[in-house]
Amino acid sequence: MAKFIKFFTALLLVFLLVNFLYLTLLPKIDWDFGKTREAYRFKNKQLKVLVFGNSMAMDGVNTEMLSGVFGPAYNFSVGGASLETNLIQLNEYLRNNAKPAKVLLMLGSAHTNYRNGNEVNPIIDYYYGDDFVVKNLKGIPLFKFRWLFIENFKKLLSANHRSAIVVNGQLRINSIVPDISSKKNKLDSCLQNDVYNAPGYSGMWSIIDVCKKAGITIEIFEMPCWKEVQNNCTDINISRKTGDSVYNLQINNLNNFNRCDTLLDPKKDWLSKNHLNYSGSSKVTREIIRMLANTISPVNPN
Amino acid sequence: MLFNSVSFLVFFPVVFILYWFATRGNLKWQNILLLAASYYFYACWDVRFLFLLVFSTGLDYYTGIKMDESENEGRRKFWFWLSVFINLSFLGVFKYYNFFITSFAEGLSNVGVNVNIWTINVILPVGISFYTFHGLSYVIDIYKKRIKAERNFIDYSLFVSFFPLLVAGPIERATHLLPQIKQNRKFDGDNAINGIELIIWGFFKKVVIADTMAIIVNKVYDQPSSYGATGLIIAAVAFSFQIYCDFSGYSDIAIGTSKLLGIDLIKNFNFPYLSRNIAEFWRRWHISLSTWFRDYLYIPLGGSKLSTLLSIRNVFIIFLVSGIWHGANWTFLIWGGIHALLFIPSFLIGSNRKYKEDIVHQKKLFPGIKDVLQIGVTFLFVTIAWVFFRSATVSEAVNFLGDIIQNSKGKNLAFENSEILTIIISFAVFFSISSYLLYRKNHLVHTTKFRQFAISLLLLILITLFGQFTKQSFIYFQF
Repeated sequence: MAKFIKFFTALLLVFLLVNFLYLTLLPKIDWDFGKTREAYRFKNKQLKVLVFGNSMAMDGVNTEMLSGVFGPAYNFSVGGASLETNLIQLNEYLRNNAKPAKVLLMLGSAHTNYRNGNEVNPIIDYYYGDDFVVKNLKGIPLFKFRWLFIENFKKLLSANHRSAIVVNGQLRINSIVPDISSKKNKLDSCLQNDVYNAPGYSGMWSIIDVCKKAGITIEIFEMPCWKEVQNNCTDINISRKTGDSVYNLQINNLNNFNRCDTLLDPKKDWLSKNHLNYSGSSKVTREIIRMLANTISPVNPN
Repeated sequence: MLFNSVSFLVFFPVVFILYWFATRGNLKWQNILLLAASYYFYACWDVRFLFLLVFSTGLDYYTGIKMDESENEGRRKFWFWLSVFINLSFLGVFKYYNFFITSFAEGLSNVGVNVNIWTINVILPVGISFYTFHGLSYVIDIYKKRIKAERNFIDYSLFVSFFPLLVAGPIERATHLLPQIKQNRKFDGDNAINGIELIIWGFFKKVVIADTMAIIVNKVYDQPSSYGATGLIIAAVAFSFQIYCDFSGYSDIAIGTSKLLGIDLIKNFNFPYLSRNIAEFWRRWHISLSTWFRDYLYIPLGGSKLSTLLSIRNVFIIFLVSGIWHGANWTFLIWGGIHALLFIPSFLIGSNRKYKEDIVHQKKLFPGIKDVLQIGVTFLFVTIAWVFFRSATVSEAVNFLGDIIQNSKGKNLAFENSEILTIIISFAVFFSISSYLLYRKNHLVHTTKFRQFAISLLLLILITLFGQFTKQSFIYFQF
């Protein structure tokens, strides 16, 4: 029995050690982990523009360009983030830092199934969730952050992934995957108000609520996607009554196929399905700046 | 209770600790504990069918003793046939009644006679095919005077219901398992370490390979007509790996679990996809079932010792029965028929007795070109037959195969880069360890302690990283 117990215990201990090493390594090698740790350490920061979203916004919004126009901006977006995740990030930032002038919430409704997804991104949960002991006991790191293994494994195979950098929270990868999908051109592909009232969007309404109460201007955008899921909507007006407040907002639709045709080159501006590369992100951010210029005073109009 | 469930992760360590520590090595208490654990394991699925299991056990126990006690051949025959009749009736009612009655009605309706049929609405008791075959082999062995009847009801019940093999085999024989149940068991450290390794290897095959393949297979088989040839070929090959890794993974977990309890179960798989012809495939695939049919059906029918025509008839009978054993559907019957047709040429030229050694054996470390070609052709035929096994209907299977040849326009399977990388890494490890096991005669225990440890650790890490934990049941539970 002693021999077996020795083998079994050693197996478990080394397995735990591997998990510990994985968790130690992740903030150093993984973009999502690294930037979340960076954001977690923000104290008394004076950012003017905060960008929230998932991986589409992490790749697709150039916060360096935004900073040049509107003042310090940071892209908080992380891969697979639900709107509930973005809400936690916003609240944590506001707790420890100065109020920003503007929050940009970048949705990816055509790519991400938000409808019932209120799960909190495990990385955000790790940094902002329970206390240290609980969070380390709650999930085996190799399991909890399992998707990051393949994401980081790609760096072994791809020079573009190895040379990628994170600037002001934006992930910049110089890879090109042409969009060879085709438009559906359906007239009914327009998103309706009721889509944005689905349970998975509750985080969005809470973000709106937090911003309104704190006096922060909020702008919401639908991120551009590949042709197969672009739509023919103009900007979308949404409304909801929450308690005593009635919120009427406009969602700026960057996923309109006419707008995408004008803005983006399908052969050069994509990094993977529905994810913009650096070139695409610069073009989209230029458009965002143009749209925002009407509602915010530029720090540097030139 | 599934092996790949959290409840089993709690259940088994509790049984293990009580078994080795609380019983203080007392065989009687160990067997009582294992029987109680086995009944609990079964009742977790559906407590109502536990009564069926207990009744079936009691029947075989009683008729076994009656056969043993009877001097008169007629009485022995009576008790034997009573047991066979009741066992097969249960199987027939729960598994085959609806199939035969609806097929009969459809047949009549094809010749213009419409009849109202009465079908029963009942779920198939999990493991019924397995425990019925346990019981049948026991009563046949007593009837043939190969063994004496077991007088201890607890021991006999444990032979039928031992939880690692209760719901999906391996189908054990009384001659192999009962003596182990009746013998004092001592904890053997090396054997237990080998058991842990087998469990981890089985889990890897199940949750990493089989359940990942299941995602591809289910997607295509849900709407096969919308996919083009490439998608259909990928799904067909994926199913070959899914069913192998699902079932052999289950068997490895069962064998490993038993080893931890000091009981050795028979080997159920021996690298079947490295077979050089169909006969070799059947010596390596679901060994406990194919040997069961050989010993209790094929040989009693006369085997190959009769005229060529009758021998061919016997081959067809065992393959068709093997097909229908898997489920009440024409697809299984045709699957069995295809294997019979593939087997008969090698049977007629006598090559069915070739290749009894492993492809990589002591004098040969790598397969030759001829071996590789033979393996490829056998795998191709086996994969084609699996299309019938997996399809919901015969026409769906025929269309599936037809579309592979004719339909190049349907949609393709789309994979994300991450999915492709996951599959490549998983299969690279699967093939590497399979080759290593083959080279080491299927036992990690024959290698150094460091390698044993490293392989187990690697598999554990990959299970955590790539395993699909979606409560996907084992395919063979439905049989």
